[in-house]
Amino acid sequence: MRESDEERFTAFVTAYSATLFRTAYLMTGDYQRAEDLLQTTLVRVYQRWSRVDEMDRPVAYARRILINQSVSWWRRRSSHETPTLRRDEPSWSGRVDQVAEHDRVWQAVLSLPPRQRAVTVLRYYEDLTEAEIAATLEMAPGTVKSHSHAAARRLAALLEEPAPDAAGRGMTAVTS
Amino acid sequence: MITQDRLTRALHDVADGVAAPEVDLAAVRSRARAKRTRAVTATAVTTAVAVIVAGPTVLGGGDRNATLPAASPLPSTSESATSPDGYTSAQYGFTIVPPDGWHYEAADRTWVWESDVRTHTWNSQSHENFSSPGDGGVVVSAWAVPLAPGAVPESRAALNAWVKNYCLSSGESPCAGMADRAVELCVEGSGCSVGLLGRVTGASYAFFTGGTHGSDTMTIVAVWRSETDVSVAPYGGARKLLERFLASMDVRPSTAETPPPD
Repeated sequence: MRESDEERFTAFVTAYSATLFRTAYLMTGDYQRAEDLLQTTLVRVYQRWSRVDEMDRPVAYARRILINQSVSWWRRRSSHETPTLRRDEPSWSGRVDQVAEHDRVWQAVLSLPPRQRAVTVLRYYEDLTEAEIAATLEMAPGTVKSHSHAAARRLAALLEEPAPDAAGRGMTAVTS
Repeated sequence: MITQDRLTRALHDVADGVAAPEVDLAAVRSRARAKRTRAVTATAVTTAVAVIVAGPTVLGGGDRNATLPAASPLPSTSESATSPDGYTSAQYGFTIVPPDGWHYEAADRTWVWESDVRTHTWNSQSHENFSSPGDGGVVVSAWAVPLAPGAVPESRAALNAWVKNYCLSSGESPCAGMADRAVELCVEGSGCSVGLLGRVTGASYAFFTGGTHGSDTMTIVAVWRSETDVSVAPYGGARKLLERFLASMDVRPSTAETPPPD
């Protein structure tokens, strides 16, 4: 690879790796897995950089690789249980209710089947349009719409229930 | 009903609360170059094997009755694969651009020799499957077979033997003469000297390794219809359809050869 290509690849990583990582984290709920997904994605982008660099939006190509890998990873799991991780947040900060609320929503998102979760993350975190989500997930816009409706129904059902109590009851994993 | 604002705030709060790792660019480049170096080394000696097969049955002894249905072979969960950049396999990493209007059904897992070679049917969960629009009467599958270290074919004879062994292991016969009816393939514009294109039975196959597809796997692309089946006529036959899929992977038959007639 030419030096100028190397420089552009470095600039690409600098500009987009954090966002790609956070998307991977939202998809997996697992820091280590998200880090692995990011590196594998960047390796593939690097191998095809001459072509990727010519695209209008190289980050869209990288996002597609990352999302499809994460969907595949979830589908390979023997169990689709919701990860039980909780972020370390100061309980004295006055944000307890807000943090609990956001964690509750995220746990619900993580319990969605992979493609419904991907549609949700791309829509509400990446702020992509329906057409952009369709291109990223390589599915028809109508399929995106149906996944989106299904996700909304599941989330509504989950989040209108009482929050999990101390024993973890009240919100169970949704299998896919 | 959950509000959009509630979802947006929650996801951004979670994402903002996690520190992104520092990317080790040297490691990224090293991994990318290591794979490319292996691929180029292999390409110098071994490029590609392609086998066009034509006949009434599907390659595969595990389920000899698993001939392709006349219509609608893929489940209704298949999705459009009309993105201009094509479909990138999460399992195998390759990118394929199918013809307009085709749908795909993603593989659920990677292909494993021990369990998959004897149950070799078009609807394996290890296949990336593409179906034609309308009744979905044509399915094209792509997958990759891992090659053990030291077992990478490095000559045309070795490639012939590998494909013959794959054919025999799948329970199909006759596999003899497959290489004699083969035509070379060129992977990513390099080394066309040892690729093959030929015919055996009731579907059309391409086998290749090297280039960015990696030298540690044998990529296989199959059109599950015979050359003269009416369903592939709109594409110019099974071989032409296979070549169209291969071209999107930057794999092309050598122009110096044409396959013998059926």
